[in-house]
Amino acid sequence: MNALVSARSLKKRYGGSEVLHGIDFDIQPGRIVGLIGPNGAGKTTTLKAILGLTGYEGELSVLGLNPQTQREELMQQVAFIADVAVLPRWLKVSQALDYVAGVHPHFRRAKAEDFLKRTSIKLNAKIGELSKGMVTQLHLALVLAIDAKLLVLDEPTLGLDILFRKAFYQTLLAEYLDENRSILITTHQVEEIQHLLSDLMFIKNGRLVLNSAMDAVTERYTEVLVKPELEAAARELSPLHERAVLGRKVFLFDGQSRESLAQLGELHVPSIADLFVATMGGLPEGVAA
Amino acid sequence: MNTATTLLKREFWEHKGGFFWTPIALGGFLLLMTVIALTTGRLHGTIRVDEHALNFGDLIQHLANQPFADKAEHVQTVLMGLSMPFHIAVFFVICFYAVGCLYDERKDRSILFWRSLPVSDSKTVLAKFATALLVAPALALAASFATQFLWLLLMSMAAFGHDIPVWENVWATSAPWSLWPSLTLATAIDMLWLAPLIGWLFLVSAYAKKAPLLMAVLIPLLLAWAESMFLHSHVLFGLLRERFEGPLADIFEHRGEGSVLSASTNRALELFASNSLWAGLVFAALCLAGAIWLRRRSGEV
Repeated sequence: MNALVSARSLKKRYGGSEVLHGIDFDIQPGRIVGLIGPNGAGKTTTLKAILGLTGYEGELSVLGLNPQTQREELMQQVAFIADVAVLPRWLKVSQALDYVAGVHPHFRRAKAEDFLKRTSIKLNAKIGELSKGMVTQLHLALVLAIDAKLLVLDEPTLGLDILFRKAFYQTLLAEYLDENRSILITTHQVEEIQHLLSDLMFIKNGRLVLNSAMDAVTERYTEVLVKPELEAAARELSPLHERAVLGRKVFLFDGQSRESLAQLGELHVPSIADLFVATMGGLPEGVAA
Repeated sequence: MNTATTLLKREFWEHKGGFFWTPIALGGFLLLMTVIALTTGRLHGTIRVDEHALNFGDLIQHLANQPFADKAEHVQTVLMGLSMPFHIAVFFVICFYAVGCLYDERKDRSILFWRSLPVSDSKTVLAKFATALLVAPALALAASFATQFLWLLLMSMAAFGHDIPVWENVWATSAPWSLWPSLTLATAIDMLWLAPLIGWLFLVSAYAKKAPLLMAVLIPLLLAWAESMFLHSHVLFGLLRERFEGPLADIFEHRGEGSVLSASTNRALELFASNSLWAGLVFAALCLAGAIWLRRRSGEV
């Protein structure tokens, strides 16, 4: 099957400094891809390039289109939620529906209205009068009613409380995903999307340091709660990362066989958050330990 | 799905206060003043005409006794006067609209929402430009015509109350059927004349990181000042002055020949025939191209 998004040597320079150093990746249909990285690593730049919101060097094809020159066509098939704050406050809910229905050929208004009926959002309310959680629900209603092949989410749940965050992702999974559509998501709240993702990309200083299916990630990385007397032995196997939990050491290994690790202690599947910290090399550069 | 109409509607929704309620409130105010003048004037007022004290009824009678051409001139002057506040109001409304329309969406980051939909930047900017120079003036013009019409109705009632022939004195003299097309033509030409100003405001609105209005005013003034300071010439200052004086010539200059209406129409046609108008349109087009280019590359403020 053809990739929905395909990037080859994708580069971006701001002024003199290069923020993306030529990254390669593909996003296949039916996947949920998490693009995870610290601030300034190039996450948003990558998303912006995909959405045609910024220029770039290298090759980038999104649904077979060039995001820079074919943005209008592209946005008919790509939906985007930046974060909750971007719906204009003066717009009424009904006007938001009218507007999207007026400019988007693949918007199914009835579907959005059905979705809104299940919420407490009133059609004649102004967006400025809605709570942050309601604005997110509205945005989700608009976007999920668009028959898009690719949904791009940039920190979609920023500033929301945990209930809305959970509901957001549940709705997303229930309403959006099928085998032809994909989601590309960036977030800081890594734990919450852990079980959602089918693919994982870590980006650090403008380079992809991990790009793998989740299945392969759990195969490849193993976390071991090492028995105190075996710590030295564990270090011999060159762990990726080492941290202390309740007086004992947890080691993260990349590509070691499970059989040999099992002798060191209890085995765990690492959380994305731990993997992230390990891959990023602990604390961010310039931050004192 | 109809993109163009939707884009215009979107601008109207956001700026309904300026585009819709401002002219309506203005019309209501002018008519209210007229009603007050008519009712209180009839009861108490005295006005001196040719050294004779007259009450309102006498004044109407006095006007009715004048030759037709004089009556027509008086009534049309008042009607033109009634439309003037609408022109001034819409000028300020569209200037503030233009300087904010590409800035505010970056400031509140809603540009990310607008640009997540399949509408090109050029369509968006052109829709906003059409809103400034077409939709807003058309609504103001409609409100001013409605106001003039209601004013003439009030005058008809007043004339009827004083046994003065209504048709001959109120409607034949004001001749709205020829007044309104002329005013429409003059407004259309004025908007073409103002296009470079609005285009400039769009460009600044798309560019400014903060305080677009200040930037829009200061840059031309500083450039004009620098020119007179260092080059000892006043080309830019002359251009700015010409642009603002053009549509206001009615107020600043009295042209003896003909009626106020034909003077206004002739003034507009003179503008239309001038090279300045066409040069201004070229400048407006360049500004718009710049605004589109900036919106295409810009994220939020």
